[in-house]
Amino acid sequence: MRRGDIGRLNELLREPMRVFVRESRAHIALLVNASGQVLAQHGFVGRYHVMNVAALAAAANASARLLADLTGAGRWHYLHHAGRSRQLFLAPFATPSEELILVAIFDESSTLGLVELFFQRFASEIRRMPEFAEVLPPVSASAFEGELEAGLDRIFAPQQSGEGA
Amino acid sequence: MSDVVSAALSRLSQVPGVRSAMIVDAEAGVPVASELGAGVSGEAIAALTASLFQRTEQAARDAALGRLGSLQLETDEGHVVVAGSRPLIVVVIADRDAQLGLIRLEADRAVEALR
Amino acid sequence: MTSGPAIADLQRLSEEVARDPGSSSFLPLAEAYRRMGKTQAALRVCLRGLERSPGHVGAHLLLARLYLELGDRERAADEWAVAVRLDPDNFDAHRGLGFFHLERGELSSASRHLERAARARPADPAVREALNVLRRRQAREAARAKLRVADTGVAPVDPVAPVAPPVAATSAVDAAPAQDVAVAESAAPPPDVASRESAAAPAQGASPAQVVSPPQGAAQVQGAAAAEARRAGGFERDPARVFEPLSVEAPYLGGLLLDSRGLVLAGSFRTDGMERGEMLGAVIGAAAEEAARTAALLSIGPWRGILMETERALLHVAPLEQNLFVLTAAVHGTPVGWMLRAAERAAKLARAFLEGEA
Repeated sequence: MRRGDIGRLNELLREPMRVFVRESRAHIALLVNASGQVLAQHGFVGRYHVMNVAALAAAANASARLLADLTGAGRWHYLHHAGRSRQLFLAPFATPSEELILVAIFDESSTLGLVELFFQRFASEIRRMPEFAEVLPPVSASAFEGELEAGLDRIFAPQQSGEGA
Repeated sequence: MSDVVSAALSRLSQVPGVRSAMIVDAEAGVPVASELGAGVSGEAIAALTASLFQRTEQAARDAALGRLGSLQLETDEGHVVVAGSRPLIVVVIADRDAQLGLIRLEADRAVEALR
Repeated sequence: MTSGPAIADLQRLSEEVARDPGSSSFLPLAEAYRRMGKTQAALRVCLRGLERSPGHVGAHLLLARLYLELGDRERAADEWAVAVRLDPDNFDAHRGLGFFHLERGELSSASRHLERAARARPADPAVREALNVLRRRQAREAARAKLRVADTGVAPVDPVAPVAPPVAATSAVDAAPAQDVAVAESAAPPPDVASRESAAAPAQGASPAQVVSPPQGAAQVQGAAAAEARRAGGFERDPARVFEPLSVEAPYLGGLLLDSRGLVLAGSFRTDGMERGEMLGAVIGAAAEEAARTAALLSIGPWRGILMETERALLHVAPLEQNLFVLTAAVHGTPVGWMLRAAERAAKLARAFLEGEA
């Protein structure tokens, strides 16, 4: 979990997210940690919406991991849901400090292959960032909730509200 | 993948100058079958060539020129040939001095085998 | 009044077509209706026949003639354009298109088609006369462009323009076209020929005393004169005609010089008788951008060109310096080797044009 540096991380991750969205032609992208804390987003229009997706993404990742363990399937690479007009891509990746999860939603202007290709590049870039190079100490539940709110406040601060799909 | 398609892919990959030959799912941008050169990422080729095919197909449609049959990208170091129609396309990466005529012929045969 | 034998022919042909809608008897049936003055009936039969036989050149030519008789020159030109696509050496279609373009003042296109028609039938008097008119007009336009025309609001004379409100001619140059009008009228193919030939007539009714365009047409005519003068100085100086030297080759459809925003800097692309360069330029940019990205991400060096084979055309797009692109188009089925060479020539023409601008 992050402590006190969500704002700085939001800034640092803004450009990699922008590049990922541009190159993969995804509409919406969200980067969260395994606890559901939002580190960066692109294309969401409201904090409650992103909170819900973040929480569900973390839960989906956790349940998929458990399922893989129970069935001996090993580590899974990504989750893909193909809808009528939109598709969802959800992929975890490990950094030295913590596991992160990228969620991307795209339509017929992109493909699963393209999203996965640029996800790999995005993940490589994040892993190289010094901010994700250190193992973090654990944090308390109350501090976690404070950090969660602070993170969302920063992401949806007025100067950031121009980002949209 | 059927024997006919595998054989077509194999023939394609044996044309002098061909580095990689693949069958790609154009909708998903992922490889279906491939004969790859050393160190080549099939996933990257599949994703990027499917995207190129999609964009070019859209341009042809918007320009009222009908369905896209094939495209051939020439670069400083090689050629990328993409042929077929959705959902499966044939992709070839070849050297600059490869026998393009033969590649196009074998690619067309592979496309026929996919039908 | 319709004679006995003609009615019998009509009945026989009607029965044949009714029995077999795909029968080639639809064409003589349509022609029979046309001769009887039943143009609408002829049109219906012809269109129905083309639904089953879209590649029937004779039917397209007859359709062109019917549209002409109905006063719809644009549709007639569309049908001739289709006929030329199906039969690149078709005399009737080239003659029709030649007169169509001559009437509209599109001298370069008129020249191209009339010369093709003349090659097919050197002795055809109508085509010969039309070429004479064309050449005299081209020479006159070039001479006019050299004069400094005072800004009087009165446009130079266009002898082949449609009938305009009478305004007195004001210069010696303007008085000259009287002869050409008479020649143009006499050069027009007879409107009704008892043969298989289709006819194209230049604008009728323009008498010498009336042939001065109204003020609102002045800018257009001066623009056309300026364009022709530029052409007289070399293809490369008229943006629309930069790739004209390639147009003598049968497969060629058009060429465009585009910027990175998809805007057309020069060239022309026509299909089905319509200019579609702007539209094609706008949509092809995405494909060019993707080609560049694919080459970069696959680490196979900068892209040099992309060749696209579609159902209706073969296109080649290549990068030029200064973030520009050259697009070359040819008919579907054109040999790839020819296309690549034509694309190289198009790039050279584009560079010459850009150098001329600098």
